[in-house]
Amino acid sequence: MKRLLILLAVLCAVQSVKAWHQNIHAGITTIVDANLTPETKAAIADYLPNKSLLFYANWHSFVEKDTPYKEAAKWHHIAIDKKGGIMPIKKVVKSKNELLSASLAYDGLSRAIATIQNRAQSTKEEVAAAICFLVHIMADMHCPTHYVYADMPVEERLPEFYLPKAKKSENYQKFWEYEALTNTFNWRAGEYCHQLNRKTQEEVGKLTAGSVEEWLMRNAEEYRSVYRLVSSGVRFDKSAYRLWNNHIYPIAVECVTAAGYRTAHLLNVLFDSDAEPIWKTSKK
Amino acid sequence: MKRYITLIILSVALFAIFEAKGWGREGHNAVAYIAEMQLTERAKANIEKRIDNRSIVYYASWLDCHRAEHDKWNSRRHTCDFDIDTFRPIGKPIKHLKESVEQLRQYETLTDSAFRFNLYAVLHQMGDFHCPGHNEYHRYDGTKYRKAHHSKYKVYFVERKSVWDYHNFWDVYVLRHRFGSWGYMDYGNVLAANLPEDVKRQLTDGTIEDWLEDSARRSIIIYEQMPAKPKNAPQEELSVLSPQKVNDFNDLANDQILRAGLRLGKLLNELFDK
Repeated sequence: MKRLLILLAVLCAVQSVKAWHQNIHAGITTIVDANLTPETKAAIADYLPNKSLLFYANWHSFVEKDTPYKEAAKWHHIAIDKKGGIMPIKKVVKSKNELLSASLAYDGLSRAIATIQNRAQSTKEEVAAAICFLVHIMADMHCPTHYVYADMPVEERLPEFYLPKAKKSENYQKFWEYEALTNTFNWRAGEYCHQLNRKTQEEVGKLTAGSVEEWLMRNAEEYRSVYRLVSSGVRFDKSAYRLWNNHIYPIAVECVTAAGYRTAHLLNVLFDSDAEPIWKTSKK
Repeated sequence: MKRYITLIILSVALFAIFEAKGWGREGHNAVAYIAEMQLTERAKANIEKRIDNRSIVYYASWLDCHRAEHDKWNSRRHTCDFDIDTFRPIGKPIKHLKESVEQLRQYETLTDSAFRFNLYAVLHQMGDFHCPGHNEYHRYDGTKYRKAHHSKYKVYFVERKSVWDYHNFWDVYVLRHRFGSWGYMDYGNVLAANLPEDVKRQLTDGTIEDWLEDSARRSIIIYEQMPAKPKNAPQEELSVLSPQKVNDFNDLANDQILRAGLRLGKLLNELFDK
């Protein structure tokens, strides 16, 4: 019964909170925008005229309730199998685990990439939607609690903890989507770019090395440890909460930074004919 | 309804945890950003290469967030003491600030941790020491200084229809009153971007002590207009924070942010434009 209640609570959390906070998505998009080549920018402007990518940073969340895009509601989380690899879509869909079966971000991302690659065969609206989904999903793929691990028990995946003097618990997924960063930095959209668009070329090269799949699997491996940063039922006092946040925010900063640079790199590869393809996995 | 109320209580609790430490993040970020706008290319480069190529704004509130991790970090005051007759800064706060400045004069010789601590302290304390609610005035009675004004008392806040801690008002609300949606770049663009050079020179003329004396002279009105009442005074006897006063104090706060940022910028150029 207890497990069922926890599962229901977790399902509610997954259903009601699905992405980085709007502000953070917007912030990531400013980093993306700053790193697009002029060719990529011009190409994207053909599909999203008169407005910058920033305007569409949260479009995914706005439209997923609309009938044409209802499946996009399941494109915020990614399923990771027991071996640490990205779970094949057919397996995700068939999973009896409701959390896993709602984790189709990799499907959404793959389809968006395919649409853009084959844009000559798609309508402008389809390509425009694909660009917006790609930007949003890539950002979500750099939020640690958007990784659903097949081998992780429900209680470990979404621990509930207590703020100082709070009677009700906090949801860890929700915390990561907003407070992990904003408890320390409450930047506005453009300020993310000012703060985080500072990596050297060498650092960006290391960050964007490999294919999209390799990025996601690297993330899956790194983000697993995020779930060990708090135990379920922990009750923080004021000082301990601040100390804990001091461990958390540098991770969140690097997540957001990586999201910006990698998304820009992906778009540059897709739209700028001089860039090398990176979405094919480098493993045989 | 109960869930909604709980959410509000939690939000307020979170506010209290993270904001009651000098200017809130907005204020400190704004001060640091205005300072950054004044930096020469060389000063900026010399600073940023020692702080992971990050902006000084990134570390503007570092002392607030990390103070509990180390005794030395926790020993730095976030309030500044002043002689109420001369308005000159006195005691440990100005002593520590100047120690950090002197350390940074030889910044090339400092270890990484010493450089960072002293830089973060200067970034933060220059902001805090321009916050009117962080100015504490002392009267010399012939043998020792006794505290004459500080902001840790209750006032009646008309807009909120409740009793507030005056210090908390200065830490959290005074900036958000009008421009709650502003980020630090907004403060920079509005307050400093079009400021004539002669005005900048005028505001940054003098030493650190001169700057703080100016800050103290300008800020004492927050106590003269809102005198402290006894600890257990009933609500009707408390000083009243009227809407007009909040507007006036918001003007003062924005002006102090500007002065702090310009002065910090001048100081950093002096230290790092070598």
